[in-house]
Amino acid sequence: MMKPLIEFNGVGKSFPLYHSLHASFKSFLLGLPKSLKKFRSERFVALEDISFRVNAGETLGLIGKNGSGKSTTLGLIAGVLEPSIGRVIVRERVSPLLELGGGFHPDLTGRENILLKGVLLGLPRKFVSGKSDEILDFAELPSFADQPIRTYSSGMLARLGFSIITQLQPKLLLIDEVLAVGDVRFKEKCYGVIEGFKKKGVTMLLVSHSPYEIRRLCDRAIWIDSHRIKDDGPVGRVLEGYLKAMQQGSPNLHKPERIATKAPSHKQ
Amino acid sequence: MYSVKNYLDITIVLIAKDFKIKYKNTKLGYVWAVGYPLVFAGILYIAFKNIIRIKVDNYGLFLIVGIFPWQWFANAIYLSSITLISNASIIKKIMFPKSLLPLSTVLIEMVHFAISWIVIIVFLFINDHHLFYFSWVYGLPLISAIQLVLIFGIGLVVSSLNIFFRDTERIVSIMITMLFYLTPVIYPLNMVPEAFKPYFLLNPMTGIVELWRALFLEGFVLWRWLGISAVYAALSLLGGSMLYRRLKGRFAEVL
Repeated sequence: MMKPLIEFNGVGKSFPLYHSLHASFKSFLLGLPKSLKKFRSERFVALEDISFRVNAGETLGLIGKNGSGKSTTLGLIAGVLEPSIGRVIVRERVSPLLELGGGFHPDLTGRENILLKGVLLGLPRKFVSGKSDEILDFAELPSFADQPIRTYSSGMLARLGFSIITQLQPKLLLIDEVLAVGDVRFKEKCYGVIEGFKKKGVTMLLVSHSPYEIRRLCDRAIWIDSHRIKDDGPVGRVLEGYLKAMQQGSPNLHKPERIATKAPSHKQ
Repeated sequence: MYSVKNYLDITIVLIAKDFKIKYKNTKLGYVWAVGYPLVFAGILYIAFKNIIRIKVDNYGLFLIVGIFPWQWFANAIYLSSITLISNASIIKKIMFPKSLLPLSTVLIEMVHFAISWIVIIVFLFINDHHLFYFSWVYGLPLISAIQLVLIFGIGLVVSSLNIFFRDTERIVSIMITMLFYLTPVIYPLNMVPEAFKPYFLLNPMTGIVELWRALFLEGFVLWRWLGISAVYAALSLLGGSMLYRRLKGRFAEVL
């Protein structure tokens, strides 16, 4: 029996809070013992006691409200974050986080960014340069190949990001809401690629707020609510529970600091 | 997970990237690599030779030979302090050996220094100085390697610390300015009063500047200074990599 590709065993992740971290050097030094204590105690808990396994070839959807910890989970798998407690095991070549506008250098051209990203992912330089035309073609950006990335629109960036990662033959793919932008036609093209990967046995984790996407692409879903796993199982069941909870409105939404952004529709 | 070949590829691409970004929008491009230290040396020459009238023969040559290695040190360390922050968008998305960022910064500045050897030779020629010593064949790579390791170690420290305390880059630039006047770049070491000399030994750049000066102007490798500098370089790399290892796991979460 093959070992699972990804294993989370009792994983917790907390982040230092912004204000305690960026205190000035002076105030930090002056109250060193106190600041150290503060630094350790004032933390935001993003994930608590998360355990799950993903087998090779699975397509897993991560669903949950904004801020529930989905992206943190992907960050842990990608290896850019380390768990505060518990263990994360990933038995595959590093895979990048495919995220909106992320991981590009604004002053480099599209082609240069492709090379940079490819080698950082551990692929040979020659292989990546050989692939760059294919990548640009798929992203439908050949005429922008030698323009700096900062001139790209967000749709163009998403297209480039998606095609870099997918054309470089990944075995494990982490997709964080990247399919949300891009026009309908390109989206359809991306679905095609993902479905092709599925047939080839590529393992994929998909964060999405679109029930349609999750239902269409995933076999299994994990619902993360308030930093913990609420449900893990077949897409139909998990999604149904999640949508039902969203309609009822979870009590968390009514915390005072969130009302400003979420509440207008309730009030009127 | 990464092979030596991967490390090499990443370093090459990072260096190419920085060169492109640095020179893309400049008209004079690589001329700046030697232009800035030359202007700097010219100003110091006027101040110290013409006005203060320092008693050093061939002062222009003396200055040039000290300033180029100093520039490598100063620029590489300052730029290292900001390299991880300016590459935050990559660090947050891709897991890769992040120490290659300060390493490529230090290597880029080493390339600038190597370009400056041409300027040094031109100055030797203008001054009717001896133009080549056999000791350069082993002296240049040897001293360069020691200085590279020394700077890389310090670069690891300042780049890692600056992520957590942004004041680090300010402190670094003040320290570099201070250290410039406390390193025998604009004056020879033998002008330093005996009482101060032990403190100069504590400055790792004292030995490096002395080594370059003796190598370029007299064709000697000062083995004692080489030994001392090698110890400083080893300590710097050891300290730098220890700190980097401790902190690297938290880079992405605070950037």
